[in-house]
Amino acid sequence: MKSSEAALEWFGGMSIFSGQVLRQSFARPVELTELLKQTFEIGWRSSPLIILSGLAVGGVLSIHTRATLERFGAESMIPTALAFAVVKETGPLVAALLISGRVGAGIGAELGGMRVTEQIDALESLAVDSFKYLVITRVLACVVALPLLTVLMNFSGLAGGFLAETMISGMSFSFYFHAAFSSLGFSDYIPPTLKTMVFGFIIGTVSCHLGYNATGGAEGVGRAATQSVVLSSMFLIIVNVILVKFIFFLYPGAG
Amino acid sequence: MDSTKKLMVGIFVGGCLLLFGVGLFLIGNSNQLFTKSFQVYAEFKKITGIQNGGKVRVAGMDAGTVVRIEVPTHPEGKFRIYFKIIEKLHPLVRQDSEVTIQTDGLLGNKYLQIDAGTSFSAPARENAMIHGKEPFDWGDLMDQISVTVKEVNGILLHVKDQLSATLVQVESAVKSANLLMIDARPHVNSILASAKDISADLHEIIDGVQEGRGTVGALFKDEKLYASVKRSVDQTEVAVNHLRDATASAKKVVAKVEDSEIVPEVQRTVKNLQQITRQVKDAVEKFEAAGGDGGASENLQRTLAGAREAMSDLSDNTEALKHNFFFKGFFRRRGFFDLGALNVTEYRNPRFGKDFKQYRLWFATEDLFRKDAGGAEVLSAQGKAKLDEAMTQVLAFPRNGPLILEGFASDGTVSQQYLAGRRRAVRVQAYIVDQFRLRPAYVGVISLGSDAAFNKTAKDGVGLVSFYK
Repeated sequence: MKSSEAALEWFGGMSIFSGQVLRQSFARPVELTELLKQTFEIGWRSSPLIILSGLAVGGVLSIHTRATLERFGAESMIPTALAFAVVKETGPLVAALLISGRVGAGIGAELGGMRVTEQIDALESLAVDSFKYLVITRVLACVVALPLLTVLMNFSGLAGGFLAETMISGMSFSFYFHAAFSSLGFSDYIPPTLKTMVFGFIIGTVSCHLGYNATGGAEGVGRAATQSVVLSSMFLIIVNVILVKFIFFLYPGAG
Repeated sequence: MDSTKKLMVGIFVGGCLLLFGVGLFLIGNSNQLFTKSFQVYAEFKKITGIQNGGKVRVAGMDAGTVVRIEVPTHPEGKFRIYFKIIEKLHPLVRQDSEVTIQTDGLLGNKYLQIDAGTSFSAPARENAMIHGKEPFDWGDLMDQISVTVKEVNGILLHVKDQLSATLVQVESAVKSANLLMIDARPHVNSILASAKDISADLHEIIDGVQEGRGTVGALFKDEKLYASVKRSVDQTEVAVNHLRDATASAKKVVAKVEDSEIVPEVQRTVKNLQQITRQVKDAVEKFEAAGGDGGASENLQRTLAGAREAMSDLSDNTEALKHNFFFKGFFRRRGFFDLGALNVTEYRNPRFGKDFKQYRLWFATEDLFRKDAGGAEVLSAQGKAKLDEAMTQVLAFPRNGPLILEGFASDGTVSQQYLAGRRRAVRVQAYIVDQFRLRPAYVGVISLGSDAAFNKTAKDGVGLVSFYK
């Protein structure tokens, strides 16, 4: 009973925190330098991980797809099937989970450390809006970086698929990419990419909330880092289901 | 934050946005968004899963996309599918082109396939309708097959029933026909026998007439008789003249009679005759009506019986004709009237064939006959050869008299001897009549049993007696 009350209490605090983030995101002044810095940290520094992961995921998906379609003599459909799989679901979700693991833990640990070492209190004492300076910039950086990383993930996934396919069957680059995009519509491409802004918001908000409100010294910092990854990943997966249904509702042809 | 980091962020954001733009371009390009196109539409009762953005192919080439689908407003209406086709393929899309909904591969998406039209038709105009061919649906086909199979099954059952009924009727008809034929066979045989007798008698009469025998023959052949008849005709002419004069006188007498009471009496008599005729006619009609209840079989039997009676009467008549004043001279000079009616007494009478010479031949039974599987005597090849040889001698004589086959048999009772002797004679008669085309009326059969009048030692065989002048 106590744990459920604590969970509800945490969820209430989280909701209020999210509302503050939304409200503060559109309020001036904008901490542009910090935002760029966080974008650099979250986006740029995550690029290698995303590209490598994309290549690996694309290659593996291509191999598995080939094994299935080969039975029906439909190898020419591999690029189409791979494009659908990567662009519509695998790319956005894998990118978000990777960022959740890498960035969520970092944000939780960093803000948690600042909280337990009273650095945030020091900023407040210097009349700096720590929420706007620390939280909003990180959340916005996640919201901006996630779609861009998803695009990167999509293309690296398709590239990984192409590499696998061209090594196995010698498929040409032009045929592969023409076939991959010939069956895709805008509704298959734009909504799944843009939904990762919500993923970014979830990762940023959950991680910042856990770190910003961390207590209990070094142990609390570690707990905040761990919970950031776990909870943001869990929320990502749950919200993804809702978003997919929402996209289908808005774009019936996207199925 | 130093400028290097800003540059990296710029590269990251710019590069990713560029990639996103490339994706948009590739998708737009594959959907022919950046090429000039024209719009047309087609109507279908069922669209079988085609969706907005679905592909359109002209003669198999990717040519555009489905723009929108209008849903019909009433159940009898059709879906209207608007689609864009790139201008490059416009020359192939004619007013007589046909649109079908196809499936891309085995499990792929639905797309619109446009067949290239003919050169005789003008290119399809913007927003024109292209004829849509309803999609092939396996479910509909299976339903139709199911209905068709049921109908065929019903028809087959109906045909089977009808066929069974027809077979029963045919079987019944065959049985009736068989019974009818069995019943009618004796009558037909009787009629044929009568006809045969009549034919033979007529043949004889005509032969006699042609040879100038008998009174009628004399009429045809005798010049003296002709002259006599001519004189009679001349005299008749004179008599007719006299009669004409007498008629004139008679007219005067008749005129006088008309004035008397004789005429009304005659008129009453005629009226009575007419009444009797009507009564007879009614009676005949009633009789015919009563005869219609017996069915075709009974009518046929009745008809055959009547025919048999008529033929029998005709046979009797011709037989009587033979004994008539005009013809009997011919038959008497011939020596016989009917060999079929010849009996042993007549044959033994010295008057039979008294004006003829006789040529006799004897054939022993063992020389002529052999026993078949049933034990009956049939002519053997050796016997036939002997008969052929003998007939060449017989036919050397004039054929103006009868040929009599005497049958002899010595086994069994008197009646058995008679029948056995007759069978032997009949078999030889049938063979020589058929083999040498003899006139049946001139070939007679007589069974003499064991009375070996010709050959005192041999009592089993056939004697051939040829009468000739």
